[in-house]
Amino acid sequence: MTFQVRTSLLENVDGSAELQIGNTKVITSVTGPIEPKARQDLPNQASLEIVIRPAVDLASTREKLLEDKLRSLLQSIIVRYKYPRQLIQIVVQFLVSDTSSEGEIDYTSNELNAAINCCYFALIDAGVALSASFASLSISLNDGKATYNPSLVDLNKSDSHHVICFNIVKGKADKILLLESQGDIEEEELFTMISNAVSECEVIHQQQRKFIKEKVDNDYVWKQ
Amino acid sequence: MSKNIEVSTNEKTYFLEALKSGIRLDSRAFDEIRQPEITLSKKEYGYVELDWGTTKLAVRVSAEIRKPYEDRPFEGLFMINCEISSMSWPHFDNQKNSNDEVLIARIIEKAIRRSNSLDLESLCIIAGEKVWCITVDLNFLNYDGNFIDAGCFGVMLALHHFKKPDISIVNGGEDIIVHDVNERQPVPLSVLHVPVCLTYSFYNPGNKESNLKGEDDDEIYLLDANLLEEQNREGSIVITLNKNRELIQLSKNGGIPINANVLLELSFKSMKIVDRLTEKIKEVIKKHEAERYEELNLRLLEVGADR
Amino acid sequence: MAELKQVSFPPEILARIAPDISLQRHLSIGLRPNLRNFTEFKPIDIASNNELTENNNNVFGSSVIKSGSTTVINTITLGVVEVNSSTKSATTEQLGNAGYTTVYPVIEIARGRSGAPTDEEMILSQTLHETLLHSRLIPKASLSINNYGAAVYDATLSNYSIYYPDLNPQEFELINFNHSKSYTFVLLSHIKIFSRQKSTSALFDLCHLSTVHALSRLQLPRVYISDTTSGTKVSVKSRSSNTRGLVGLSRSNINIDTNKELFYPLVLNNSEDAMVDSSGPFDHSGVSSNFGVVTVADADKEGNDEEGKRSILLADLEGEAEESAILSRLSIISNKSNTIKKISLINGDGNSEISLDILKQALEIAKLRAQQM
Repeated sequence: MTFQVRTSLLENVDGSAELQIGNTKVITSVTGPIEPKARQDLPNQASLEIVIRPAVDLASTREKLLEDKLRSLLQSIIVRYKYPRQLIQIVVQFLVSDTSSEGEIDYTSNELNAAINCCYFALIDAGVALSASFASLSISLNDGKATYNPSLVDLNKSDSHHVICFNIVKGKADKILLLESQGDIEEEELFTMISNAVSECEVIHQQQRKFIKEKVDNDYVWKQ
Repeated sequence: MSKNIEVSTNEKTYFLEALKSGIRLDSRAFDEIRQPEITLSKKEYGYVELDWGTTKLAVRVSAEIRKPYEDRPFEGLFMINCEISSMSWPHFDNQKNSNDEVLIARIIEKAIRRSNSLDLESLCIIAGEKVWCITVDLNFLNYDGNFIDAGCFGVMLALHHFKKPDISIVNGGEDIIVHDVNERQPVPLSVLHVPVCLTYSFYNPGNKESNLKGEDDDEIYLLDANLLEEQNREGSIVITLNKNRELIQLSKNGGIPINANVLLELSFKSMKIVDRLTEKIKEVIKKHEAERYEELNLRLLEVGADR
Repeated sequence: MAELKQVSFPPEILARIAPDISLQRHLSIGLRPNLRNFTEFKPIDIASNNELTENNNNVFGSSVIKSGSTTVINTITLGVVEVNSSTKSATTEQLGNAGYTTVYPVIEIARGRSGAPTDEEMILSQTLHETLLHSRLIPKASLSINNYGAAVYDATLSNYSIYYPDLNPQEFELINFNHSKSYTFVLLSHIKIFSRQKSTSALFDLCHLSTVHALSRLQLPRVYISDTTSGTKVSVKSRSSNTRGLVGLSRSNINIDTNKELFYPLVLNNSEDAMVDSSGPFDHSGVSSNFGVVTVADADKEGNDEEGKRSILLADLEGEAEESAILSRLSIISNKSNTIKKISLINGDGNSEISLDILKQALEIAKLRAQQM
């Protein structure tokens, strides 16, 4: 359940991160705060422009839906009141993802999960104010058994699949920021899954902390 | 950071003065390209990441089976999707395609698709009914000048790297079975020639008024301009050649006029670089194949005697 | 010196310019702007007639639903595509989740404008598409076209007669039937929403209800091939080289038999027989409910200065005030057997949190609603 991440790869944007988790590789760039277009201007908050590009082919309504979900998450976690009348531009480009062949179902949960986690690093790299850290997890349930970061094969056999994102306060998962569940779930199964996900997300957060500490140490090496 | 990056007068003057003294700011020769660094995917066929200096891009080739066009029943379909997002440079808009983007996409398409570099007839499965549709997705990640040359190189590399699944025709020519890549070794595409694009940018720092081309024109030509060089250029020309000394396409859109002799000279000089880049593609693919052969122990699947 | 006069706004205007204040004021006196109870859903009327399907040849299933002034009209049309027969061998169980397919919806919200679909319409369509897919409602096997017939020109009657292998076996054997391709139906749904008052999440509930209802009433037609003499191949010269090749010329056309007596119902998952009235189909597919959570600052009951805050769960968001002020939203699809089919939770507001208790409460309400439908 580990991921590999690199930051500060792109030169022309304020922050960038590349994340590889399972079979999904995604690169995110964050530029902002910058001048918005007239229609994007909000009087007392920052506006967000979120663009998601798929790994294969051109963007379609599928990416529009992912953008909507990512937007509803980022709208609350970014401290938008700090940048009134400004724009924060976030571009998520999938480089590698599970492609379902003809006759198979398309699952977007792994992609959403990768996009959320990658955005976290990119936003920190760009220095955009966040009200809390957040970590997300992709889960598939098969007969009550949970698989984290499921592969395409796991998803095809699963009863239900979920993406859950918590915000982290003082190293502990505080509240659910986003929960997307599809499939057949029983209520007890759901609550068990949520409580297990809490500890898993805290583990992910520890990895996030470790990476960011190293990154900050490297970035400020000239200060030593 | 702002969206529209204006080059400051200081930078511009420094750059032009250096040019006049024969120096390029990144210490390259005027006719030297940046060395491409290639990463071929080990897990799947047809995914390439290319670093052309600091310009970064990712190219992916995918294939699916479709019905061919009515008037071209023997030919497969080939599409190149080249969309630039604001990830590469905030100046590029996510919604509209600016003139630059359209130009880049068109040149790459002319160079690769319209020149028939990919043999479309080899993509035919059942004439008039089922053909392969090859889609190339070109994703630009970071812009440091010269998307055209890097993009064209990346696409040709990915086309060489890609392998399509093997097919058997059953039911007396009515139906096909697509074999899984684990069942049967996939088949490479049939690339007829390798077009290589080279972009020259010109500058005329001295004589602004002179329009007569004679001995005392002192235009400067730079090959493979980076972002700063591109922003200060006064004109450009894209020459696409292949190893067989064939001119595939030529594009000069406005900008300051150049001496016609220079055109021939540049084409001639480019040949060496075209040869080198074509060789590089073949070399990298061959090395990758050899590694794959070793890794998968394909030697065990060989049938027949060694010649 | 000018004096600042207190400006008061009528409630509708206040709802537009300061929706959060308007909402807070309503909630603090225990009301909602639309005067429903906090956990009350707006009543929904499902039309029982089948006029659209009966009067239109290309509509095979339809549904008209009204809720308040919002009207949702859904028509299902069909497309036929060729399928690689080698991939048809596995049964629904063997394929797992891949054995199910979905509807391709196009949602149009009428607001006096024409042009490309808006983001909201796209998002609604895609959510509906994905939800139906993952709820495993429509097995692929239900849409595959088996036993397609052939049209034969009868010189004596000077018209075409259509024979099917299962209905007219003797006549069918006599036909020189040379067609071995496999086909399947594709479901296309067009949803038009009029006089919309509701929020986007509430619209999704209506669209989901409408689509499942229309699917339960969907009747699939028989299919026949019009030109049975397929197999003629003509030599055609290739464009670029000089080779000649054989191209199958006669494209036998697939036609839909409009003979309504031969129509058969779509078999949905977990329904043994066709459901014609509106109560059946929601058994498996579930009913969608949407909620929002908002925090209200109360003055303490004893009149102390301390202000308490309580989170209120509101069901079925409606109206400008609720739509713009409530950022923590929840959408649940729950079915009669208490299985949850879909949850979409977003905690968009730092002050109003959807806690696990509120989630439990909402699940209860959604469950009850599904059982009542």
